[in-house]
Amino acid sequence: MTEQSTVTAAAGAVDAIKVYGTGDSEVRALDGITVSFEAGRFSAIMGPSGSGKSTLMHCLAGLDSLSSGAVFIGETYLASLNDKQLTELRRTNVGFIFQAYNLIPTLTAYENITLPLLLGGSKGDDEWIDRVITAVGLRDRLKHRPSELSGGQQQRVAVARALASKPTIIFADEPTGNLDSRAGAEILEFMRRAVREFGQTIVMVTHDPVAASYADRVIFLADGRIVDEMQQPTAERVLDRMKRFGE
Amino acid sequence: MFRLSLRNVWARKGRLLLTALAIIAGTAFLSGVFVFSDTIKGSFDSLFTTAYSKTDAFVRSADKVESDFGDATRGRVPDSLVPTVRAVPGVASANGDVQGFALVTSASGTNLGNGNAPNFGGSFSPDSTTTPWAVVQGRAATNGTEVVLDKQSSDTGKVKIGDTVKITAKAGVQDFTVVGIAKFAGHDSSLGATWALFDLPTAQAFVAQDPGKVDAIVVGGDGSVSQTTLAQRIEAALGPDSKTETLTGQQITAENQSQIEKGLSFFKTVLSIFALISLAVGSFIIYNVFSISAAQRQRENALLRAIGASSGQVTRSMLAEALAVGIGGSLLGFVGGLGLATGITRLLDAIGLGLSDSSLTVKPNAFVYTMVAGIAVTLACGVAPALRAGKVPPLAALRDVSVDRSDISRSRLVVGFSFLVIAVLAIIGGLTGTTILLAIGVIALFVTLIALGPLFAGPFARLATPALTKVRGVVGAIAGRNASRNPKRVALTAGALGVGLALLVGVAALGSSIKSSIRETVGQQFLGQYTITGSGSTAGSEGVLPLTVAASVAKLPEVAGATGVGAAQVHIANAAGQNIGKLVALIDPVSAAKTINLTFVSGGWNDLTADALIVSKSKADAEHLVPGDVVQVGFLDGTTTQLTIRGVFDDKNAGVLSGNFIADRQLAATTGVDVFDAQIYIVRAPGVSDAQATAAIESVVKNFPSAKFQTREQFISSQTNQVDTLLNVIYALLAMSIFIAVLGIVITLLLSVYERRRELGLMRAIGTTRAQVRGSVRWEAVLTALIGTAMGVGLGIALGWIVVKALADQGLNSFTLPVQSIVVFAVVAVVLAVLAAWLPARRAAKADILAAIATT
Repeated sequence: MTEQSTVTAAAGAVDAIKVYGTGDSEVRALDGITVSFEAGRFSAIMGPSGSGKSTLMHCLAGLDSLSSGAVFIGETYLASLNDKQLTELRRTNVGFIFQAYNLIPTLTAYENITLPLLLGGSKGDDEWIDRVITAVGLRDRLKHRPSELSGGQQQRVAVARALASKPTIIFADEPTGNLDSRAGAEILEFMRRAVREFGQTIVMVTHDPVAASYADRVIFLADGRIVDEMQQPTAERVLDRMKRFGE
Repeated sequence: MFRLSLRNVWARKGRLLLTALAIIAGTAFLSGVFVFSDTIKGSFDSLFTTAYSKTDAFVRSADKVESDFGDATRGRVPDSLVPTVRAVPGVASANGDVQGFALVTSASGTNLGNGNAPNFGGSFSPDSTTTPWAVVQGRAATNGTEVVLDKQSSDTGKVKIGDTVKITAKAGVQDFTVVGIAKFAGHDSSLGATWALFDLPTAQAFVAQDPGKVDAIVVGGDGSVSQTTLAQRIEAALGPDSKTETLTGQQITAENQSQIEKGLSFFKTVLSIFALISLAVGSFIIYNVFSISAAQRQRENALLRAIGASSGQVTRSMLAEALAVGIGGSLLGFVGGLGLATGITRLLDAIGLGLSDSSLTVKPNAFVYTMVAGIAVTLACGVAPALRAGKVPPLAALRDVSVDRSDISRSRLVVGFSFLVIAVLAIIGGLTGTTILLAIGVIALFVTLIALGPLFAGPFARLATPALTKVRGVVGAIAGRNASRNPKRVALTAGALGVGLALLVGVAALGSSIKSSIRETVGQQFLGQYTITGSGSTAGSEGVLPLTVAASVAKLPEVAGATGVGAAQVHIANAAGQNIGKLVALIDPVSAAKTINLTFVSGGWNDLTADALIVSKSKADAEHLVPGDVVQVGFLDGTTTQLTIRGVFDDKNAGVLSGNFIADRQLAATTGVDVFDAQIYIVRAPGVSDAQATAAIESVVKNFPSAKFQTREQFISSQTNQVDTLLNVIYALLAMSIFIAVLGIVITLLLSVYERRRELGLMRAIGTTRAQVRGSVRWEAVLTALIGTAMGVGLGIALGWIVVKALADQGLNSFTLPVQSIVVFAVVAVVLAVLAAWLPARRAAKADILAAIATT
C-alpha cells in the first residue's frame, strides 16, 4: 500500500491476521490481508463460504478484533480504541446493513432510521434524512413497525438508517440474501445511487455474482487471503471467476 | 418422554435455577415458620418438663378465669392445707408456691431483664425436693429483706451477692439484699425471664400481697406409689370443700405444654398466612417463568411434534419438567427454611429472648407441608403453559422463533370484569351486612388485578414512554417500548409486586387510621396533662404499677386528680347465670370525673358507687342489659358480689379505657385478686405551673422503678407507637413477599434479555454504548416497578378503606390516607427495581454482537 492510497481510503486493513483456536484446531480466518477501500466507491468482497469475507468485514467495522495487523476507518486505527470509543465510532462513522434482524422490532421505521443519531444525542440533519427517506421511497411507511413491513421495505429502512448519519463507510453483509430478486435489485440500486449521488462509500460482502455486479470493484477472498480483484465487474465475469474457486 | 423432560431440566440449568429461585424463596418462608415454631414449642416443652420433672402432684385452686388464648388465671389456696398434704402417705415433700410480678432494679437504677421476657417474683424453699431452682452461689433467702436472683439477670445486671436491689411488686417497692444466685435446672435463666426468689412468707406478703395463701402446693412423692395414686390420695385428704384440684406431675406438665401450644398455634397461623402470601406472590413469578420458557421453546416443541410426539406427550413433558423443578426447588426451600429458622433463633438470642437450647426442632410435618405446598404451587403454575405448549402446531418449527405476544383474550376480559363486578357487589354487601362478603370481595379484587393487569400494564407503559423519552431520550423510548411489548408478562411481574405492595399499603392505611383514631379519641377523653405508665411485664399483663403509686400521686397538692386504671379477671354472670364477661376495669370514680371524659349514654361517674357497674353500649346491646339490672361478679379467690348496672357508656370510639365493664376499684381491695394499674391519668391543680407539677409527680415516680412519667403528648405518642411497632412487624413479614416480587423482576428481565439477545447485539453494532443498553434495561425495570406500585397502591388504598369501614363499629372514626408510607413504599420499590436490574442489565450489555448478526 502506498502513502497516497492511505489518504484517499475510507477504510482499510494492513497485514490483517485473525486466528481462531489454538494448536491443531487453529483456523486462520484472515491470513495477512492488506487492502484499502477508496472513498466514494462501491466495493464488493466475494469468496466461497469460510473464505474469511465476513470476518474481514467484522474486523473492518470494529465488531471483532484482529490477532495481529491493523485496520483503520478514516484516519483512526481501531486497535487504539476502547469499547466505548469503538461504539461511538460505529455510531458516527459506520453504517450497517445486515442480511436479517436489521431493525429494532419495538421502534417505528422512522425511529429505526434515526436511531444511531438519537443514540448519539444529536437530532441529525433533517433535510438530509428527508432526502434519504424520499430516495428509498418510505414516506408513507414511517409510522409502521418492522413487523408491518415487507422484507424489501425492512431492508430499505436499514439502508436509510445506514445513510442517515452520513457515515465514513457503510458495511453491507449479504444485504439481499433474504430477498427475492426484484426486491434485491431495488436495494442494490439504492446502494449504487447512494454512492453515485451522495458520494457514499460502501463495502458489501456477498456471494451473489449479480449483487457483486452493482459494485465498482470486487475483491476475491479464499482461505483468508486476497486472491484476485476485478474493476467494473459484470455478473458473468464474476461468475466465471467464482467458478474457478471450485477447481 | 420423561427422560427427555429430565434432560431438558438439566440442559437449561440457568433457567432452571431462575424458576427454582422463586419456589425456593416461597417455600423457605413456609418451612422456616414451621421449623421456628416447632423449635419454640420444643424449648417451652423442655422448660416445663424440667420445671416439673421432680413434681409428682400439684394442688391448686379450682376457681379460674380462662382467657381467649387458653391460659387461665386462678385463685389461691390457703397455706393451711400444706400440712394436710404433707401428712398424706407417700408424700415426701410438699411446699406452698407463690408466683407473680417482681421487677428488680439494681443500685445503679437499671431494671433487670430485657423488657421483652416477663419479670417474675416467687417463693423458693431450699428444703423442697421438687423445685427446679438450685442456689449455686450464696444461700437461700430466709427473711423479708433477702432475695435470690437468677444467674442471667444478676450477670447481665451486674448485681453481686451483698448488693442492695430495689424490687417492685404488688405490695409496692422495697429494698432487698441479694444473698444468693440460682440456676434453673442447670440453665442461667428460664427463657430470658428474670426471677426474684424470696422465702415463702415474703413472697406471700410482697409478691402476692395475700398472706396465708399460696398459688399452688407442689408435692414430691417418696416413690412408694404412682403419681396418679398420690394425686388421688391428696384429693381425698383435702376433700371437696377445699375447692382445690390435684393434678399429677405429668398432667401439670402436659397442661402447660398444651397451653403454650395453643398460644403458639395462633402465632404459627399468623406466620403461615404471611408465608402463604409470599408463596402466592412467588406463584406469579413461577407461572411467568414457565410461560416465557414455553414461548421461547415453541420451536423446539414444534419440532418434537413434527417428528411425531403427540400433543399430550409435549404437555406431559412440560409438566414433568415442572414437577422436577418443583421437587428440587421445594427441597432447597426446605433447607433454606432451616437457615431462616436458625437466623431468627440467633436473633432472639441476641435480643435476650434466647431459647434454652438453640438446636432446631425439625418435625416430619414441616418437611411434608413444605414439599406439598411447593410442589402443588409449581405444578399448578405449570399446567396452563404446558397445555399451551401442547397446542403448538408442528408447522411452527419451520417458522421463525415467535415470541409469546398473544393479545389479551376475550375470556380474560370476561373473567376480569366479572370478578370486578363480584368484588364491588360483595364489598357493598359486606359493608352494609355480613362480613364474610367482604373477604369474598377482597379476594375477588385480587383476582381482578391478576386478570385485568395486562389491560392496565400495557397502556400504562405506553403512556409513560413519551415522558421517559423526554427524560432519557432514545434509551427511555426503548425501555418504554420493551415494557409495553408484552403486557401479560409485565402485568404478572408487576402484579407480584402489586400484591405485596397492596398488602403493605392496606396495612399502612389501617394503621394510620387507627393512629388518628387513637389521637382523636384519647385526646378527647383524657382531660389531664400527665400520665404514669408501668414498665415491666408479667404473664398476662403489660405495664405493672402498684396501686400505691396512684394513691401517692393523688395526695400531692399540685395534683387535682390522679386516676389509676387497672383491670381484674373475674366472672360476670347475668341474672340467668350466663357468663357475660371476664374482665373488669377498676377505677376510682371520684378522680375519674376529673381526668376521663367518657360519653355516657345513661348515668355518669357519680353513679359508680361501690355496688355499681358501668357497662359499654355495645355490651349492653348485645346482652340486653339495662340500668337497674343486677349481675353477679365472682372473683378468683371465690368471693362474689352483686352489682347493679348504673350506667352505660358509648364505646364507639375506643379510648383510654378498654373493655366493657367498669367498677369502683374499692371492689378489688377486699379480695385477694392481683390488681395493678396499667396507667395513671393526672390532672394538674389550678394555679400550679407545669414545672411545679412535673417536679412534684416525678418526686413520687422516682420511688417506683416500674413507673414512667409522661406528658400528655408523650403518652398519646406512645399509644400510637404501639401501633407502629405492630405495623413494623407486619411490614417485616411482608418483606419476604416484596423480596420475591423483586426476584421476579430479576428473573423476567433475565429471560427477556435472553430472548432479545439478537436485537441487543444489533443495537450494540449500530452504536449503542454498553451504558445505554444497561440504562434501557434499568428503566424497563423501573417502569415495571411503577406499574406494580400503581396497582399495589390503588388496590391497597381500596383494601385499607374497606377494612377501616368494616371496623367502623370498633371505634375507627375515619379513613386516613398514609401518604408518607405510600411515598416511602414507592421510592423503595423503584430503588429495588434498579437493584433488580443490575444483573440483567449487565447481561444485556454483554450481548454478543457477532452472534446477533450471524445469518444462521
